[in-house]
Formats: sequence, C-alpha cells, structure tokens
Amino acid sequence: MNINNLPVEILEQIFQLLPVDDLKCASAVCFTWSQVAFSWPCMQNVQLKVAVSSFEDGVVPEVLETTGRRFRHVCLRVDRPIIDQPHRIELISEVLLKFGESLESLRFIWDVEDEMFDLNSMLTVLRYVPGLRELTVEDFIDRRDELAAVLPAITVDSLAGLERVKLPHSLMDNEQFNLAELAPNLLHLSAEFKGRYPWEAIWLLSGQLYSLSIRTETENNFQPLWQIDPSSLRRLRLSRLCCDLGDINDVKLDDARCFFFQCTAITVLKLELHVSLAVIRVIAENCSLLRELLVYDVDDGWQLLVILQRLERLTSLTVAEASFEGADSDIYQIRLPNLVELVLDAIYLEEPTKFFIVLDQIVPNLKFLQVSNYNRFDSDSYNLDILKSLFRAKLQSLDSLTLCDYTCAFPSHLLNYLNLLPKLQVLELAYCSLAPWSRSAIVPGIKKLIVDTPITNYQLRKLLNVFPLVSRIEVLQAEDISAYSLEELSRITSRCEFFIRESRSNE
Amino acid sequence: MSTIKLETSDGVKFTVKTQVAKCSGTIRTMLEDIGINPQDGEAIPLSNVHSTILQKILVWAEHHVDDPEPPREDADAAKRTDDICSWDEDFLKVDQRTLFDVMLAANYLDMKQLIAVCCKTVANMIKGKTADQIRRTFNIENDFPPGEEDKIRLRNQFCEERSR
Repeated sequence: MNINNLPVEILEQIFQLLPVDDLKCASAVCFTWSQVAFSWPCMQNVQLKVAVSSFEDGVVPEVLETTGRRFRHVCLRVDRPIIDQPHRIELISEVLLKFGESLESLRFIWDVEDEMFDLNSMLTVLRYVPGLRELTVEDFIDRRDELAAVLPAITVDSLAGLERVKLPHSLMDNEQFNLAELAPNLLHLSAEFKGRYPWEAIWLLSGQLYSLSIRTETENNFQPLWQIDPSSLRRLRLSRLCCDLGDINDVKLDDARCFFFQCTAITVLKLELHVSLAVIRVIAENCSLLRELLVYDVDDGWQLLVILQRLERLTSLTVAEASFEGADSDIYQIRLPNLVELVLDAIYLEEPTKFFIVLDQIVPNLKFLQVSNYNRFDSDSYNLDILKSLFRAKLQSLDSLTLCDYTCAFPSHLLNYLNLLPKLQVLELAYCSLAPWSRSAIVPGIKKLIVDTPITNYQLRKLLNVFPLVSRIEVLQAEDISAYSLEELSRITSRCEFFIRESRSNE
Repeated sequence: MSTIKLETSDGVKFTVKTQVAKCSGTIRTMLEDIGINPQDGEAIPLSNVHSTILQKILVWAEHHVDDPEPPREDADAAKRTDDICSWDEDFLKVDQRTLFDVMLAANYLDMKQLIAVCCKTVANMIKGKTADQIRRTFNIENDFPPGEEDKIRLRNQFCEERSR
C-alpha cells in the first residue's frame, strides 16, 4: 500500500491543504503528482506571476501551453510602458485571452520606472478580462507629490462581474476614473485615497457593499462617510494612521449615532483612528452582531471593557494604544464570557499584576492572547513586570500566547514561568533577539513554537531542551542562512517539524 | 440501544451501535434510504474493508460519535493543518500502510471528518520537504519522462501564493 494507491480525489484534497511552495515541491515528485498538483481544484491558491518584460522573452506562452486555462489568478507587473506599444498590448492580450472566463482575479502592478500610474494602460488590460471578479491594483512607483494632469474624459468600460477591488490612491484620486462606472456591482471595496473625489463613487455604491475598508491620511476625510447607507455592511475598516493621530477627532458623536444606528448587519469593525468612548458606546448599543472589533487610542481601557459587555457575540478584540489606570472595584464585575481572542498592542498598564489577575476573571474563556509593543518606557523593570504578571495570573483557559516587541530582547530567564499557564500549547515570540540564559528551564506543555527572531543552531538546540515535547518549530530566516547547518538540523529536527520563515509574520 | 452487524471482506462480523455505524455516510444511506432493516439480524457486507481496518475506524467513530456537525468554514480556515485534536493525532500515529488503508476505507465508507483529519496528517508529512525528501518519505519513484522535469521547474517559477 503506497500513497499513490489512494484515489486522485483524496490526493487532491491533501494537495489543497498545501501552501504553494509545498505544492511546487509536490508537483516535482512524480508524474501523477505533477498532474494532481496542477489540477483545477488545487489551483485555487496559485497565482501566475508575470511581468511585461517576461512576455517579451517569450517564456510565458510556453508555460501556459499545458496549464494555461487552469490558472484562476494572475499577477501582472507592468514594468515597461504599454500605451503606444501595440506589440506589447498584443502579447498581453494573447496571454490573457487564453484564460477565457476562467480568470477570477487580477493583480495589476504598476512598476514602470519614473512613470506615473497610467489609467489608460490599466483600462486597456481590463478589456481582455471581461469576466473578472476580483481586481487588486498596486502602484509601486507612487509619485504622491505629482498631480494627475487633467485630460479629456476617459470611457471606463463596466466589468459587471467585478465584486472585489483593492485600489491605491493614485487611481482613486484620479478624477478621470470613476469606480462606480468600472464596478457597478461591487460588493467589497478596499481603497486608499487623499481627497474628497472618491466619495461620490462610494456613495453611489453604498447600500450594496458588504465590506468597506478605507485608508486616508487626510484630516476629517471621513466626514462624507456618515452620509452613506451602511445597512448592507458586514465589515468596516477605517484607518487614518499618521503622526498627528489623537489630536483630531475624526468621528463626531452625532454623525456616529446616526450611522451606527443603521449598521445592523455589521460583524467586523476595525477603527484605526481616535474614537471616543461615547462613540464606542453607540456602537455597542447598535451593532449587536459584532464579533470582531479593533479600537485604537482609547483613553480609559477599563471603561471600554465595561461598555463592550453589551456586545454578547464579541469573540475577538484588539485594543491598541490604550491605557488601563485607576481601576475601581467595579472592574471585578465585568464579564466578557464569549471573548476568545484578545490582542493588547502598545497598551499601558498602571498595575500589571492586578490587570492580568482581573483579566482572567473578566475573560474566563480566553484562548488566544497577544501582548505586543509593551516596551513603552524603555524600562527593563516595567517590561519584566508585564511578563511576570501575565504568567503569574495563570490564565486558566489560554492555549495560545504571542509576545512581541522588536525593540528589546526576550528575557529568556523567564521561560520557566510559562509553566504557570496550565493549558498553553502554542507560543510565539517575536523579539529582536533571545537574551542568553544560563538557568535551566523546561516547559513540557508547548506543542508548537514560533520564534520570529533569527536564532543560531546553538539557541535552537537549547530551545529544544526547554520545550521537549514541541512538535513544530518555525523560526525567522537568519540573515546568514548558513547559521543553520543542515546536517545538524536533520538530527535536531528528527523529532519535530522545522520551518524557516522568510519574513516576519505580522509584516 | 439498537445495534447492527457489519461483515468485513475477510468474513469477520462486528456488532456495532447503530448510532456509531451511522458515522459512515455509506451505511447511513443503506439504512435510511435503501431501507435495509437491521433487525433482521443480517450483516451489512463491507466487501472493501478488512477487519483490522474496520476495527480501527470503529474506535475513531466511537470517540467522535457525539461531535457536532462541523461549521461551514471559509476557504482560508479550511486550509489549516495544525488544528488536529490531540486524540486524533495519537490515533493516527500509525505506519503509512495503515494510514492509507484507513483513508481508503474512510473514503469507501464516506466518513468526511475522518478523511479530512487524515488528509491534514498527510499534508503535514509533505510540508517543508523537498521533492526528493517527499519521495523518500513515501517511497515514490521518480517516473518523469525526460525533459518533463525542466518544464515543471519552469512552470513553477511563475507560480506564487495567491495574495489577498
């Protein structure tokens, strides 16, 4: 009995679970596997990556000869001008037309050196993919300071099937471009822009959008948002992250009251801008289906938790830039029984010990906790205090913990404290380094370890002694890959799976 | 509690709680749609399943009989392979031959949850390995016709994870 005796449907089901890099390895194993790896069901997460320059080398058509129609996702990097270049347009059309209706998503990357994003080039390409459902546009050149010259109006052909788009500011702010014209049936919009011009299109599309994500740096640019019809929205993300965050109140209470009163379908809300507690109270009173919430820049963290008790379906909460100070006895009464995921990013705790003990009572079913960027004062004692308090609180149901701060080293002498968390199985550490430790530590509960920190073979061996039952380790690729000598690794990793990540997970 | 009899390919008869047997879509269909009456005392023949494998599968079914219907997850969540519960992990710590036999039988018996957890287990065995390491792990022969490997390598250069 060999794996190749399994029916093809089962091989397909296995291969669908593989990330593309592993799928590529699998495709090179044997003839059967190469066929299965590039079968229609397994291509769901595979994207064809091509550049205009690679078309001109003639390689791309050859690659597509056998599998062309099975690609559903294409990433096209425009790295040479195409307008007034009929032969390049012909090459692109030849390839794109091969996919016919099977092409679902296109990622269009503008990367022509020194040239501003050209709307006409994009519209030309879109003409060859009339059945497109998803469009992502990126502008690698991004010449923010230049204004698009005012040219005669451009006709934008509608793509009736387009449901999901992600667009950069150079396209959104271009007054020759009208999003509502391009995608009249849009359901999901993610966009960045600076000016007021794009709001008209968003206003036209409102009432049908399921998800809306807007990033802007302009002060008060969310003003027109409160006029749109949010009744269809399931997910909303607003982001105005820039240096003067906090000085400006982007959300006025009266606007918010009217807006969130109509947000009855919303389940995911991410607010990366300053929002007052009064507004959060309006949200808690009206958005009863909310299950995921991100809030930023909150003055009174305890009061926030009191308010959030109204959201009975809330399972995931991220609090960034908040401070928990001056707690009174009321905090012992707070209960968030359905909350299972909590991210505390850049928060300030006046009394860390008390905070985590109370947290265990407030969130009795917490499974995942992330504490990140807590090194606010560059004070070793405060940093240690946070971690020790967290461990000593013995959070009863926690099974996954992420600790992250790239400004400091992880105090490895605290590793033994991890045993205080009775159910902990997954540990992620993301630091600039692991501080050397001499005391012996052993943490048998951990099954999965992620170290988002370049480490040496020596440290890896030591970690395996600390975590004897770990079955999976992921580390960040060291700048010098020879830091991991392979002969030694096969010995080290014979009892667990070992992965090297190329980049930090949260970048 | 009602029971039914199952007979494997090697002629062994098992008496199983009906509820446990119904973890198998195939048996459930036989009982409910085709109207085989288990009270007759006649065994349902499972001509594709050997008794050693059925024994193992019944242990799994017994443990999971009260599992709630799995929620319909979105495509991203379904791609996870690190969410195998520790009981299943121990249950599937078997040699490859047995693992694949269990998968074949589970496929025949239409037990989606068992197949899913087996597939995750196999995916974890593939992940992080080179093509050569995979061949050695599963004892697979490199049977590419000449020139084919180069074509695949070229094609793979143009493939990447779909970005979202």
